[in-house]
Amino acid sequence: MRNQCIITENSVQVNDQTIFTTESPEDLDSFLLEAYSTLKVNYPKFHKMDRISKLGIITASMVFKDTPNTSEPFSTGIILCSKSGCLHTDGTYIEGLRPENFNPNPTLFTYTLPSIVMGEICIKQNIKGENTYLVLEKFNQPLIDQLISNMFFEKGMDQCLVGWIELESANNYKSHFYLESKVNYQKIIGQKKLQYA
Amino acid sequence: MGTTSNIIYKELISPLGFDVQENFSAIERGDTGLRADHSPFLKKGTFTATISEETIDVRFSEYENPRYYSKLEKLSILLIGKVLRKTGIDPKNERTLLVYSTTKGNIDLMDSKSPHIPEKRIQLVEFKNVLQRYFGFANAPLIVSNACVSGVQATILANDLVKNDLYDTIIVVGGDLVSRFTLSGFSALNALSYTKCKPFDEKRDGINLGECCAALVVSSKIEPNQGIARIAASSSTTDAHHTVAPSREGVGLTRAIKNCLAQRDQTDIDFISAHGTATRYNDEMEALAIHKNNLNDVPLNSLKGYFGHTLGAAGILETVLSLESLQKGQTIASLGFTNLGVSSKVNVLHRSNKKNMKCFLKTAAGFGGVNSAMLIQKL
Repeated sequence: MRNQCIITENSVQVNDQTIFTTESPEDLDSFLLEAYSTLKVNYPKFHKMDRISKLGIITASMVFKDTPNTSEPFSTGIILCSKSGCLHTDGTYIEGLRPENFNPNPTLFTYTLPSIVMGEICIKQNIKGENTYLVLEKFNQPLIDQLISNMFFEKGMDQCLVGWIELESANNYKSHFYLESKVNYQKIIGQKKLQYA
Repeated sequence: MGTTSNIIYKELISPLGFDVQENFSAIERGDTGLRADHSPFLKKGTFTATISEETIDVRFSEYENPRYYSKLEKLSILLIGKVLRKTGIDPKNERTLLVYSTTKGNIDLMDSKSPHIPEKRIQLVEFKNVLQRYFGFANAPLIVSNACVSGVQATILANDLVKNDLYDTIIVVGGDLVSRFTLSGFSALNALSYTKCKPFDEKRDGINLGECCAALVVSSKIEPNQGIARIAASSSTTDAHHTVAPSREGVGLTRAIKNCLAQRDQTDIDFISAHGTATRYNDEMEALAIHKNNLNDVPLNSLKGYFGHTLGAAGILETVLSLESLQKGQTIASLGFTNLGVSSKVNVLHRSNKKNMKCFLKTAAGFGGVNSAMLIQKL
């Protein structure tokens, strides 16, 4: 069984069990903050990050909740994809570019790259291997499987954190991460070959 | 892996020209696309390398009404159109794919008041749809957006997809613009140089931004004399250290280069096409990573002095021109360099010279702590 975490609609699910939810959803920021403290995520930089990185850090932390990442950092890869990327954060940054109130925020600017959430996750989980960030219409499992296979069998990775992270607005967001291991993946591929045989 | 993959074509539109030849000739003359930029919102002036939209529109009007397309869409359509015409690649073939590398896509539309371009085109998925619709690509283009390693990673991804026999031919395009968005941000980070940037030089003090659109074609289908080169080795890593500052010890890039060297045969590396952004930290880290891999004597250049930093397009732009350098047997001087200003000794190319070359190393690093390296060998 591979570890996975889904966060959407004010609830955090780990391996199909809801482990955190807020009954009366207020706003995304308080949900993320409450989830962060209740689930003991512990990443000091959390409070300085944009919403997308906060969502990503909590999701990734829950994937590694019961099985901390002890693999060789350079043998752990990461693949993330999203539809909107960092457009939500771009919008917040652009507010500081209005001519009448021009005050660009340098910290916010660093979060206006879609892949920054991946950088934050790599720091938190000590992941140093192969990394890919794609903008896709929706999570494309056959394509992602090809990329995972490439990571294991061509790039020498032992495990790979895979995730979809989409934050269109404060009311419409979803993250879904899972950890795939080379050992498990070889088994699945073996079974598929048997089916076809 | 299933099959072999080769780079069979390259194309480039930049402030220095509308094809590879124009660009290479300009470089040989020592021209730069960098011009003083006194945008009123900047604390101080800087230098940027931009392409005039009027010039683009004159060319674009031959095909389509420029009014309905953004600047990056027009550049991309001109470039991809030329790639298709010159190579005969059929975009409608299900074994053909477009991989597009960009960090900010149509971000300049935030200031656009055009009634002809819907606001949603600022989204990368919509930008991708415009290109798919225009050329009728059978497959939805893939967008790679991993900060400043996007270009190198898009090239590696395309190569892997072809080698795994998922596609016959992939057009890899990199494009990013100079915009109020990126200029204001790098200015707020105090990362911009007020002069022309000076990669690896003792007086370097920051980056210049640039814009361009560059393309490579990788394919398993190769006609006689069509192949240019192959990607002999590649690796990407992260520092897991800081999202903006590279690791002081160059941990990630050192490892990425080491992985490439482990995969190669005995071919010597003739030159290094460095990332060389001309910030204190990047160039220091990059020189250290090169030194740690005992490549300090290998001639090295950064092309940022000609084009500025073109973000998601940089890796493809620099690969295109390095390939031309390989094919021509003519090295490219590192413009803006006078005296070495990094602690680890590296062999920065002062001037261009004739040389028979087979192989180069391309390196890149970016925000998020990501690093990429690839070895490219002439066929």
